[in-house]
Amino acid sequence: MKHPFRGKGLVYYLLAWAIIILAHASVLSIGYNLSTIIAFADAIVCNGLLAGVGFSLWWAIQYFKPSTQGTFATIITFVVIIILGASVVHFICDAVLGYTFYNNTDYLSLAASASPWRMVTGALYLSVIILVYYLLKNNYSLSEKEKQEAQLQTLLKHSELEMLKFQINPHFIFNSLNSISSLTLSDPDSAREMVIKLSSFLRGSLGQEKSEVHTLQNELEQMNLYLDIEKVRFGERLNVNLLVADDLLDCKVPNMILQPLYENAIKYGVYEQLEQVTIDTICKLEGDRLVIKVKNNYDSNAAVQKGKGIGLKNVRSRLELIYGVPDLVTIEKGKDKFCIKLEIPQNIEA
Amino acid sequence: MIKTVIIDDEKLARDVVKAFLNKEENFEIVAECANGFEGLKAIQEHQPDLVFLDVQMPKLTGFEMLEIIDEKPVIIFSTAYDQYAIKAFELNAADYLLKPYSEQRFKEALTKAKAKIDKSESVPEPAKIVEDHKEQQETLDRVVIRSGTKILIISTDKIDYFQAQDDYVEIHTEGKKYLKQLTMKWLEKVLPKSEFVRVHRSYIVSVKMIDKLEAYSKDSYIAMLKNGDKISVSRSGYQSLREVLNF
Repeated sequence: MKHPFRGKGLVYYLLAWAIIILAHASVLSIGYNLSTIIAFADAIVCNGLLAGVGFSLWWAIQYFKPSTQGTFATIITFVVIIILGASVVHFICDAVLGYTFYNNTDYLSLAASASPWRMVTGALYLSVIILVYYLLKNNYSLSEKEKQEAQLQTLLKHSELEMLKFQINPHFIFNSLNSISSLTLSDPDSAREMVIKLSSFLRGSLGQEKSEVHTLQNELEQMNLYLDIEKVRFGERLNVNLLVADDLLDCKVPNMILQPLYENAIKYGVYEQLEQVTIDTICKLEGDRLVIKVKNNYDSNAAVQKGKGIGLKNVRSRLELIYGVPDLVTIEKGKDKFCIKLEIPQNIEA
Repeated sequence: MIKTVIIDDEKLARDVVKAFLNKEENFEIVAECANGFEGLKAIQEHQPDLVFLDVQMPKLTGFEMLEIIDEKPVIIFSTAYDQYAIKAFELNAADYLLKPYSEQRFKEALTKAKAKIDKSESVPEPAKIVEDHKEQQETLDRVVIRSGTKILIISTDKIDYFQAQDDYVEIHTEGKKYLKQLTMKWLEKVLPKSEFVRVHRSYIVSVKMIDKLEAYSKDSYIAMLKNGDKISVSRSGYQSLREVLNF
């Protein structure tokens, strides 16, 4: 931290001393009937010296810190510095003023009797200055710490969000590549189409996608690529329906937030049953929240291999981090329908 | 002719095998199956020499299907991504193929399989592979049992207790019991620790099925189950129960 009495600070500092000098001089000239010249000479020399010492005390503060010296040692150090500073100022004052006004006995006797006062006021001024320095310094480091903390928080949130973002399932990639490999034998045109779809999907999900949120339209286009690829893999076993009003397409949703929902639907729908699986996506606006439901039929009685449920947990944490509202994900398990409901606040700038 | 069955839930994946195999002589595709149940039926019906088997399939996985087959054919596994299982396969299956694979790699697998089939005295031991796969498994969610002509997939949630019977384990569930070739040691390892406790050398019990415990002798107890069955609890079994149930 730089010296606080710079620029504007210095003006205030000097102004404060000017007022003290004025007060000091008026007390001497009115209270003790000293001539204006002598009164001002005394005030200026004495307080000017104190101002100089006070100003330089800042650097002393930098060296004697309670954190390195210990509180008690620091207090002792500053008591010594204050006494020393006040004494030196007192001594110089006496010497300079005594020499200049050596023939004014009134002043000399007053100066002699006011000697303890000079010491006390000098020490007082210096103590006040030191306290002000500490106050400013503390204030500064406090705001600095707050700033750092805020920075750390955003950094943490950012990395957490990065982590929660969709991580591509290797099963999906390698099975898709295998389907492509198969199509090159039987239907090269479809193979090419699938390569293109897989590439666009991967580009969208791997790339350091610009923003955390994008429009529902972007999201649905991205998900269409994913579902199209899965449809090629599973053929008639997978059926996909989408119900969304055109005026909702501009709604904002976190990027790739629906992917884990579809992955889940495919895992428990397609992977765990022999019948055809239909995945329905329904988007609605309820108040200021966009509600997205992803439903699939499943067999609630089947003994399934349980997953770890990380995908859905990530969706939940991600929404909570972005919007600061808990419980935006609801799961409804019916007898033969499995439904995941997302609520995405629309009034917040995320 | 080598009778071959292809089991994979994705048609395109079966097509690759079919296309590559059609270029070979001496191989006859007797069945193409889209899931474990169909696969099981086809194997029993055709008694093939060779089976191409996908691991992840609906309802019944490739491993689970193998568990309930008596006369096991030579197996070539195919999987998209399974780094743990790969190690297990390496030593035991005729071969494993990582999708997508090249025709050359496919031919290598066929050569290995042919060698195994020709050495027919001792058909490879897929049982061992299954064992190895189990080693990698974290927790057991379901058990597959063949009962007559039916195949049962029983969720571990519905199992009351396991009872050791020589080389087999008797599974007690909803008033019925089934035998399966398993070991108590393995079960103890893969069953969820908070739900199943080995209370005796011969018993692993589902804790939620226990109604009450009664002292039997100085060192042993009897667990009364909700279905009325009584099970011996040894002293160490009692200690394990105390740990899980916090009493």
